[in-house]
Amino acid sequence: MWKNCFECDRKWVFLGGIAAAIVGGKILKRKKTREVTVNAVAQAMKLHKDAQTTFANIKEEAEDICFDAKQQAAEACDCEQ
Amino acid sequence: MRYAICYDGPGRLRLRLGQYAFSEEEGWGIASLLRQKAGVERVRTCAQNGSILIYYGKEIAKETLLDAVGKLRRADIPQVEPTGEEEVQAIDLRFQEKICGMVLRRAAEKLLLPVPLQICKTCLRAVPFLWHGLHSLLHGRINVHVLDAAAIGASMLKRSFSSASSIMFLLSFSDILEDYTRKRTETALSASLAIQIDKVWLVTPEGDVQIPLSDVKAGDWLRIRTGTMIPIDGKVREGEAMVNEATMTGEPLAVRKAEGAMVYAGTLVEEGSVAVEVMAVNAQTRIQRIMDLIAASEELKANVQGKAERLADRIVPYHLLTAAAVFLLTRNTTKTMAILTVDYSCAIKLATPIAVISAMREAANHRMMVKGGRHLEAFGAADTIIFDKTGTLTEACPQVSQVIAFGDYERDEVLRTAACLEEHFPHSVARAIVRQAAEEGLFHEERHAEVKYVVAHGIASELEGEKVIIGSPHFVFEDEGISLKEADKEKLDTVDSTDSAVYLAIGEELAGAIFIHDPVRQEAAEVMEALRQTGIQHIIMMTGDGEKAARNACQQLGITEYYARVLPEDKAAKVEEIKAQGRTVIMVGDGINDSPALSAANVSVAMKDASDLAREVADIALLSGELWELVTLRHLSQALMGRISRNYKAIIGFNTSLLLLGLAGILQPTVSAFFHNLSTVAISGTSMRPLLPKEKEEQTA
Repeated sequence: MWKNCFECDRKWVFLGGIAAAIVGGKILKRKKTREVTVNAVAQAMKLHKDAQTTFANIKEEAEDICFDAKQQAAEACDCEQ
Repeated sequence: MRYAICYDGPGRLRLRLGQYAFSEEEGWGIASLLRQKAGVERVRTCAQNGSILIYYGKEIAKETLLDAVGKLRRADIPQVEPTGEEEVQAIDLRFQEKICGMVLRRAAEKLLLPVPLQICKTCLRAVPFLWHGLHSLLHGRINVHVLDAAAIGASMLKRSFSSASSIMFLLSFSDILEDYTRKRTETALSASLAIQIDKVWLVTPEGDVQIPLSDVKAGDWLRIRTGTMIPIDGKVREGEAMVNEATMTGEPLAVRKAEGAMVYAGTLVEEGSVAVEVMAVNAQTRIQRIMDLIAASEELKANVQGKAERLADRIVPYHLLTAAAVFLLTRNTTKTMAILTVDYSCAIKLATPIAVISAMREAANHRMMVKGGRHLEAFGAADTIIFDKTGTLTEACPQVSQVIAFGDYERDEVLRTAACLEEHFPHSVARAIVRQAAEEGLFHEERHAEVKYVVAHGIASELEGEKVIIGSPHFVFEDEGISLKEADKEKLDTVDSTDSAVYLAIGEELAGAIFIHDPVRQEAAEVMEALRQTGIQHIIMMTGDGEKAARNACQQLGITEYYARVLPEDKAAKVEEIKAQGRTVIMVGDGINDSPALSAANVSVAMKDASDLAREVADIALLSGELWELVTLRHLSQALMGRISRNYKAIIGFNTSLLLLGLAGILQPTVSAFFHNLSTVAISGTSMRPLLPKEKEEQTA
């Protein structure tokens, strides 16, 4: 049965899966991997926060420009009257 | 704290302290600290980039503000509740984050995740949807969850995982939008009520000042008068009052509270006036109570809303049957799914309450507190309006026009004694008498015993061993049996006045009469006409005053139907009588004596300066004192009913079109689902728009 199994086309996929599980498990358990993952997540969080800050800055600057435009329009309207 | 100035214009300053400078909660504290400075009009903070936006007036220099921010330390920032605006801002922010996250996640999954993993993820995501549908079925309910589960299940059985995933994405998207729209509308209503409606009297060295309850701090002294609900927990510092604590203890009899006694939020001052030092503030209590009532009470829902919701639920089984029939007849799963992904109930259940709550918020912005959708509906549909006269159709500030003394009494003695008794009660007529005595320099010592207030009739006490009473003719002559001597009657007959009279009797003898001039409000006649134009067929005035005063007021106002000399207990009976004729009645009143009639009407309105009891009982409370608000409210309620009806037509028309297009095979299920959810959100979104035209808002603002 085992012989047949190894002869079939999928034997390499099966073996590859086992190898990937063993190697993956080893890699995941390594201190370095943990450090890299934590750093990557932290970077992603930082990126998220930076994106939020940038978005908030853009929104506020646009608000300021609109406020000035409204003030100028109101002043121009007062002058005409 | 270090900052950079990002914007510096006249009266507007934006400072930026940078990322992580303060948290959202600390931002609320910073805003509250800055708002306490005289001249600061508005402050808004943003925790994401650490910015502070300040609007300020000429009373404060920019340098003072910069100095205040520069000296801020984290430890000094107080912990405060967010204001209504801040709460709305936080809800907006969460919504933006959720939507952005959801869209980005979906894009990333589509681009980066291998197809087999996408299928696994779709199967996992489908579990809660399928479970909800199954749960509803197991409990014998065929509702929208069953429809959703059927659509998702059918897609997966057809191995169309991409469609199932799209349907779930749209359903989650629509859930977030629904949640956001509902929360935002409710918070905006709550904020409007807190700012516009919930006000208290703060005791200051310069006199009593009205402020929003949300501005009250521990240590402040608040003045609380007869008929007013105590809004805080505190200690009595001045005065005496009989407080009804039934809401707290269940004890129906009022308890005497004097200096040093504790009083609690939610209890009612039945008699007297006290200054209370605030111990604990919970600004949300009163408003939260109203909000809970509005949200939870099925009874308060507009009838039209309840009917629509029941109809929406009843449609679902037929909808499911239609889908089954289509599948059996055509064997086409795409067409079946196109039917399952569209339904009516989502939009009806979401758009109607949003329209009602938005109308209530709009009313609150006009300083009118409406305590439920059904009251707005009844106000719009009413054909009869009954007004109390004094304080409602007449100026809130009546004046003494004449004082007549009888027998051996002097005019000044009559006025002085009357003022001495009346000063204990915050009624408009009582205030007029006290004011007149003060203007004439008639000062009085407290010579009488404890004063007893007989609701809507008058006051009784004892003065130097003799019984002394003051009040309406009914109270003095009929209830107390004081006789009117022939000489006094002749004296009264010579008085040519349409003003209402208050009588004073000392011992068993009539001592004097005080005539109160209470002119009708300037705008009242025009308001009556405007109300008629909105479809009110009967305008009725009901008053405890004499025939002459009532007829005179009605002539000025163009009112043809009136009831004079009506006792408080009879006012409610009259309202019932009118209702029995098949009319829908609005009752407008202001005093404690109007409370039974307010309760009896289909919908009741308490005017500005109404006692808290009348405001508690009334379905709608006006805070601006303008009679025109009644017309505004009528327009608002009628516009609301129009909007709800238009919404139904739009929901039924649009979704039926989607069903038919799906059935014809023109629209794919995902496209149908997309348009269905889009239409739900669009209709709900338009339901949030103001109902009144802008110029009307500006007129009344």
